Amino acid sequence: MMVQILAEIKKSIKYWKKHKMIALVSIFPPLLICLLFVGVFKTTGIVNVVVVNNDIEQQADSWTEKFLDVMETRTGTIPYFTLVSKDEATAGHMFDMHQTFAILYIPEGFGKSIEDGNPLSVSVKFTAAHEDISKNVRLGIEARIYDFVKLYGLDTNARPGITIERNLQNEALPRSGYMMAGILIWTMVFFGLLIGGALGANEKEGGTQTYIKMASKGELSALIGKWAAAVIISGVMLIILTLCYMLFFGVKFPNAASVLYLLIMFFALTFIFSLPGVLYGMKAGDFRLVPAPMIILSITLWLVSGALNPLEFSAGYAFFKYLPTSSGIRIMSYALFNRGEQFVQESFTILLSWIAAVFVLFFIGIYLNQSKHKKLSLHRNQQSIRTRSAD
Amino acid sequence: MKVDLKMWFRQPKLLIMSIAPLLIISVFAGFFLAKVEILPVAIVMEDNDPAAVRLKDYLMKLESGSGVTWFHAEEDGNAAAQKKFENGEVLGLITIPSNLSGKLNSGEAVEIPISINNINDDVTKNFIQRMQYAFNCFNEGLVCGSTVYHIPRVNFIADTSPDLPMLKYICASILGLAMLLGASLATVFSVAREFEDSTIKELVMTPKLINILGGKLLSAIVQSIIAAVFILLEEWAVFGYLPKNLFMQLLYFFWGVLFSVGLAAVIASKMKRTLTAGILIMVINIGSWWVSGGLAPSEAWTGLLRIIADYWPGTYFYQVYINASLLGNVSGDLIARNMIITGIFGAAMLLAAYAVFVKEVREV
Repeated sequence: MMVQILAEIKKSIKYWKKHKMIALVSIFPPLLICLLFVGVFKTTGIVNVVVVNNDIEQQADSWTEKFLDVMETRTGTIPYFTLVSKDEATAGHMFDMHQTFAILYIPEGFGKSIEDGNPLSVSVKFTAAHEDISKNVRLGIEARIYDFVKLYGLDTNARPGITIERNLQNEALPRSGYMMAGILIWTMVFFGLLIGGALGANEKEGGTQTYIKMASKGELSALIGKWAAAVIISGVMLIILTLCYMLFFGVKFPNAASVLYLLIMFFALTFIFSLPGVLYGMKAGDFRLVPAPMIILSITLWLVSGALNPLEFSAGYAFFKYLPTSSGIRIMSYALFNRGEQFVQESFTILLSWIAAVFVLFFIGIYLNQSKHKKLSLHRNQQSIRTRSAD
Repeated sequence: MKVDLKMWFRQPKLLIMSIAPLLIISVFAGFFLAKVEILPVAIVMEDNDPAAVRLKDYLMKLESGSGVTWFHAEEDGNAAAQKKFENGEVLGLITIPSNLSGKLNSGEAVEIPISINNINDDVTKNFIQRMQYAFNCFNEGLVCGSTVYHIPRVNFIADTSPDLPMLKYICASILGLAMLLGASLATVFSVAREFEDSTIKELVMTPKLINILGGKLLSAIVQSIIAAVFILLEEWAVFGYLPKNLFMQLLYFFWGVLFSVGLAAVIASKMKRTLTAGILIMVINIGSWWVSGGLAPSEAWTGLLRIIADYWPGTYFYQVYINASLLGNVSGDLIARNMIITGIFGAAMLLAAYAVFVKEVREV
């Protein structure tokens, strides 16, 4: 049986090498996911705002200029604003043509009103069709006003008020960076399912399924061989993808231990997910039916497991924390960014339980399959005995 | 046309390939991306000073432009709050110091300590900005002794009120994607299948190849209408989204189809395989949807992505389609400009499609 399994592994690897298009298909979705999900959080940091400055009596050191300088500062929280001065008609046209997201109107006498201690309100016209961007604009402008008041009023003791004294528990980590831990985990799950599915489907596709059935313990050897081959091929694919992530999306492994964690997660997750992948592929028998359900399944698991923000702040936390993908993301977040140490032990326990469950289910499956075959052959023998005695 | 439609209906694989990616994006983006986070915080009040109570109220009641509460705030004792923070149950710990009124009346700038579990910079940003907003509200009109202190305030003028939930934006953009992707995939399947099944040899006998391409275009229109209506019904049933001015959707649909099918036909004629051409078309359409403002309006971006968006004609379709579907109308100048840009691209691609199709057919 060992020889059969090894032969199956070799055959599967040859199949993969021969079908480069399938390999290409499996690389596209992870890169697309990175582009879609990670990229979107990298692109809304700076916003163009057109300024219509009606405070015509301003001077270089006027309060209006100081206010606009603070609006353009590139410190503190994003979004940062790039201000472009235009007259009212041009600004209105730019807004209508969607060339700018917002217009800041500075009223006449604004600087003087600040000087007098009773500031006039500025106006901001913006597109409110997208809650998240309008939130960023609303809060971003409020943040700059806070900075302005702090700089010229509170820090100089010109007025009383309250300010923020912030203490950050961890080092800074961009959200797009945080998401990469989850994407590494998703990639493992996706490869396990997709490559397993592709290998599982190839026998029916190539018409070699009958030969496997004819060989003694052929189906079992094929299943184990494909399962192992799926893990091996996933490993090679993961190396390529991890290098892409490092090159294009800034993934960094801070120490050797983090690489070790990656390896452990890889073996655990591809082991768990490539088995259902192979079984599904065998059932479907057509690679074209593999990618879509595997993408749906893997992305669903990834999203409900804390892909975008940590699981403990997501809906369904109490239930979803038991998923193997949640444990994987938590362990990788700890390995890469030193976040969530308190969840590591629990996550490892959950992962080990899943691995054990996969083993148990696999052996139960084999036992049931063999019992079914035994019953079938017994039934056939009895039938042939009856036929002979009747003759 | 009839042959293509029959083939499409008889092959569930083709139907699945047309609708599944749209369904996946719609459901996932709708359920998981289109949410504004409500941040859990613990507030510790060192006393019940009136200014402290006022600040606590601001923190607990602040809302976004669409009416979402910024913080899920709980008032706790110091030890309980500290424990919650350390266990990761709350993201922030705000301690309002005692005798706040007294300190303010004596002219002080009082620092309010906030500890943040900065799991990532986005959470930190949201947390700090919401606090800054609350502090602006508190500092405005602050009365200390006999003096009232003001700060500059902003009068926000939105083009629609309240701010539209992100979910609606994403639903609108996905419906736009359904039109473009549905038409592109249908074209790819019907053109590439002829090459794949070698039935193209029979089509060569046809006196006018343009009729073949025209038939395939009509079939693509029917298929993409079905895909788009399916996604529209799904969004209506699952997310309660319906675009404003439903009648205009038909016009936008034809605009989208004419814009997208040419490129799809070029790719299908060149690649000649349904699976590979279909996947390439999916990648191009989904990538284009994202670049063109599928998840956030492109005018809110800067840098390389904005430049790409400005040069990609798809942006001009989505810009009009999304805004018109959400707001009911857009400026006439915008429609005219964007129709010209996308029209030129669509016409050029249709001409290219015919030329490439004829060349590839003759080579076969």
